[in-house]
Amino acid sequence: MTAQVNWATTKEWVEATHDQLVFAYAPSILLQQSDLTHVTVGSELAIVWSSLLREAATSGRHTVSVKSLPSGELLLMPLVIELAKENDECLAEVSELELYAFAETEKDAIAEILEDFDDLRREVAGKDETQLGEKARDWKRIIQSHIAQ
Amino acid sequence: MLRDFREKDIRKAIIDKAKPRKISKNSPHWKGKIYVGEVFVAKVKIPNDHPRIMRSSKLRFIARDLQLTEDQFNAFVECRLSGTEYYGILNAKGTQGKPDSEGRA
Repeated sequence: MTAQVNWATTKEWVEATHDQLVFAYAPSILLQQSDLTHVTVGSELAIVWSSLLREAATSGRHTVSVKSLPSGELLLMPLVIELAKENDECLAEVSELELYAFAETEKDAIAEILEDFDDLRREVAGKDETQLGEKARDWKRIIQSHIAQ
Repeated sequence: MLRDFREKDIRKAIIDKAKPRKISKNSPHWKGKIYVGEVFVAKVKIPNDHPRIMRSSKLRFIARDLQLTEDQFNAFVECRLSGTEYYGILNAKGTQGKPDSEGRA
């Protein structure tokens, strides 16, 4: 382990989320969970990552990209969940689908939003465009880009 | 600007006026689906039947779910906007299903 990264916080995030999550602390940096054990003390990556973690911990804003659903089903394209602190709660959002969840922990907020994703997916599945309002048509199109229906 | 409302009052307004057709009760919060005729147009999380005040940070999501502006949402909960008027707003927003190849909506 390295002193350059706030491992206590990292560990908490890792434990709070799904195995297959990819952690994204900045738009250009994606870090697999498996990479967490390969960051060496003083390396450039450790320093950059330490800075990003500090920023994320301060603002409470970061994103996770989910590559599979709790059922184990793989997504065609990762689902990006934005996380932020709102007062004493954690807010999770998938903006493009207008999904949101408030919970005490990130783990619970992510779990709820994935459940909402699945719920919405089931609602639009099997409906043709005449049975969907304007927004619902957009939701279906976006969901289809994540999941082969 | 969104006003302060009790969770139970928002819940009542949603159930009485938006009349979600399908309500899922499995999650910590009920989730409803709103239909105009046979067309699925909106989804909404339904607050608990609790007297605590809901923060505006949460209210804005419910207003968005209902496809209402902040002023419309205030009126919706305060009984200045009826269920019929609410559905009128949904219809005006182009929530109808896309016409099929024969032009039937």
